[in-house]
Amino acid sequence: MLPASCSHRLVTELQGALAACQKKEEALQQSIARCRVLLQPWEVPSPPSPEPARSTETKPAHEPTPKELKELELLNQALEKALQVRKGICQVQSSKSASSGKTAPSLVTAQAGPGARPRTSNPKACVPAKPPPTSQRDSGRLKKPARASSHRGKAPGNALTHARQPENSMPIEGPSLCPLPSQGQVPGLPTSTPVSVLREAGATGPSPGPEEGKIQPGLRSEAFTLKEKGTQLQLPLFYKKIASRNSSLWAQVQHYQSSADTAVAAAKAHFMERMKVTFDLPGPAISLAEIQEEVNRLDQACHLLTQHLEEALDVNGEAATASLSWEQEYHRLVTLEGLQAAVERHLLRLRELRDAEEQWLGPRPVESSLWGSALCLGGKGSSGSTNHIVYSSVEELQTMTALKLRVTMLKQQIHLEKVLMEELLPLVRSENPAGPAQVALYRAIHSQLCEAGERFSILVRDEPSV
Amino acid sequence: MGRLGRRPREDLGPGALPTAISSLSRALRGGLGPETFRKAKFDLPEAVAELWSLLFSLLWPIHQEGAVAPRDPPDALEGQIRFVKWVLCCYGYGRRHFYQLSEDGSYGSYELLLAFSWLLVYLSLPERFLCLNCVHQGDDAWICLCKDLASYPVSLALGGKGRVDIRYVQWLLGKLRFQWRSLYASQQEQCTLLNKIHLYTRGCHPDPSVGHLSVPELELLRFPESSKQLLQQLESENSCLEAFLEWKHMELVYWQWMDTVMDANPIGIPNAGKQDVFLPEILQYCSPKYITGEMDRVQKNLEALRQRLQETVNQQRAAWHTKVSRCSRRLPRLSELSTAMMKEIQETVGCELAALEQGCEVKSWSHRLQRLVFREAGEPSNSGTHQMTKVIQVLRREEASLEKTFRRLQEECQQELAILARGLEGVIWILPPYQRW
Repeated sequence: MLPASCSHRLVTELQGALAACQKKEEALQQSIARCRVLLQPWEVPSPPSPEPARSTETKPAHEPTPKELKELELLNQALEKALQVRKGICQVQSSKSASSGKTAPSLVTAQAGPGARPRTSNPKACVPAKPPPTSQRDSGRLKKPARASSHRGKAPGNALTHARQPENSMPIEGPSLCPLPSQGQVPGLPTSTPVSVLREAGATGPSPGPEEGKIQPGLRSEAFTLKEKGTQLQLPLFYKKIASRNSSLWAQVQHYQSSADTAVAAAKAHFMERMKVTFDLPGPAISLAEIQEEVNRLDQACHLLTQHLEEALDVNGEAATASLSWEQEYHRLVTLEGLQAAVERHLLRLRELRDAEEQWLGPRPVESSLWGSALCLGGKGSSGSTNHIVYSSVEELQTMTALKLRVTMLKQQIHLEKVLMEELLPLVRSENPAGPAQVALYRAIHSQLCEAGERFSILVRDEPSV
Repeated sequence: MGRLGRRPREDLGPGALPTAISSLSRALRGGLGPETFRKAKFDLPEAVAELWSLLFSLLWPIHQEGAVAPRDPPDALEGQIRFVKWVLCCYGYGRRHFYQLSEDGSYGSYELLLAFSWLLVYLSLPERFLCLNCVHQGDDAWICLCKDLASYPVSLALGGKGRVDIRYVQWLLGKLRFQWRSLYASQQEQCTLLNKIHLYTRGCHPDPSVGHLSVPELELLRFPESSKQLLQQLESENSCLEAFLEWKHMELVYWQWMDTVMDANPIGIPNAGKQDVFLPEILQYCSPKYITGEMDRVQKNLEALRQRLQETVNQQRAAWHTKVSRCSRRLPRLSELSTAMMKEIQETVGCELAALEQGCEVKSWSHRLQRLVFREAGEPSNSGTHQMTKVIQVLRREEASLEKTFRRLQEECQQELAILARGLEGVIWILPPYQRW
């Protein structure tokens, strides 16, 4: 057992890291699910079904919660199993007649009222109940399991796609081909509105334009995929209007930000000056928020200096020191000295900030939010291309995201390594490694600190023969 | 459209102030009218509640950004007032009288007006508010790493109370590694899907510099019902932006008026009684002494860096002296020749380090939201765009440096543990067959 304070810190740090990762993963999963829905066939069913409930729902309500995602995963596992079972049955019963399976009542009801599907319904609850009846009732349908499994083949591991597939492919393939009974329970995304897609595109917008009905010329009659007809899509006119107005407004805002009005600036400065005179609370000149900001800046600076140091030394590593010209050698020396001076400066600044903070806080412990995050201001920027980032192939995009993840991951890893070093190394130093428990602890620490937990060393107890 | 921002300043007549205030109010999506401000000038109690909730509604979202576990806002006015007071205190707002206002919101509209105006300048509130609520209709690419994994504050509540075994820690670490892998896989998949969408919709976007549709835009076509929200958001953003521009144009009137407000001072000189200001700790959701903790961390990093630099500089200086003495034996005239050269080198290094201080090149534009645009190689693209290749370069450099740092830490542990291992009696220590690097 680790000491209490050590346990607490390690668990807290690790839980925090895990929570951050999970949050990121959830956001990614949502985004992936949105993309997948868009890449599936866009069908246009014949009668427009009224969907009163949908329109009032807000967008966030459509996004799956972590719990739902988890449940979805469980559901998919169950369905996968069911599919395997069915495949097996199919091979046995392949000679049976197909006539009985055409109705597939469970599917029809699932499809009938998309608006009535409660998104809060628990998919887990229906999974265990349904698969067995499916395999009996639908035995006739099993003549085409190959189709069902071909979905799998196309997208191995695409559990989400698979779960939604039947819903979207239904109008094309007909209800009898949908092998999965529970797709109606798939929580989350607005999969159920395609009915009204093209017809209501104009009417549902805030400013219905005259272009209603001709938004997708030639695309109304049948289902299609983006791949086939994506280039024929046209954004509705009212959206185009709003969006172009939006970007021109942002451009004007940017313009205002870049060209400051001197009269206004003077008036503001005058006001702030007058206010400052009336400030009568004791306190140092620097506020808590500014301290936090400065600390963040110093943190960033330390990171940059380290990076620069590594790069300066890298030149060293590549060429043997002897082969460097004296200019290079001198360059490196001056650089290192410069870095040294910068570090000293930062440390001094940090000391000043500490003093200021103590004045602020007094004896009372103070809690503060992440001020630094508020500094990371976004904004859309101008309509021009300056706020575009251009990529030219999927590989490039993947490389960039992978690198970004790698950098974040390394930062997290380094942070955790430091925490582990602080907490675990003293343990090894102090403990007298005699018993097997200590040796095991030793081994675990070694693996974690030196091998990133990926490899273990072997410890052989060399019992002295008596 | 042309109406905005084009009016000459002479137009600002007697009605200008109410117009300015109402456009400010619209830009902040608040429902406050000019009348409230006028009442506040005379410290009338009717304006108090409105002003408190305006301040709260402006400050709350700013401090929710980036929090791992966003909290529900306090419903009661009392809680809101406490929050506002606390935030202003952190910003260094120093009017004692403001903090002494009662928490039932019964008086103090004059104080609140001053605080609001101060925040307008201090935080650039309207600008910040616009950016915070900015609607995204493109596929966003955040290059900025300031919200990365390591920077999340750790809530102490997450940790358990009791002691745990090292195996539990190992299990958690393994879980984390698994998370990383799954994050990687998801990201790669997302890239593929995004690219497909971009590829399939080429030529559909009215803006030729974009060319293709984004996911939100495509959803607008696919699910008009649920995407109506995007349109509403965009429209409301447009009216905010319009109001903002109007405000920017008339802002001067407001500040001139504030000057008269300060002159008026209906409450007189705030009583200088040394009544202590006590602020309850509001932001419990962050770890206590967050700043102190951060300072400790930064200090530790800086000190480690200093020590390392000290060693390297010593080595380097020795190497340099050896080289110089060797060279000067061969070329006696080197010292004269080199003085100019050395000066040049010093200047170059000075420039490099100054650039470093200002932050690396990515920093200048990375905080802004970027719209991801696909353009096949060979297709012409505007010169102003940011190329992914450049981002990749910068990231690679960062990766290499971080890897080295990580490896160095591991080696440090290795050395320390190797020394300790010698103390293990009766145990044969066999290291894993191969080293990772």
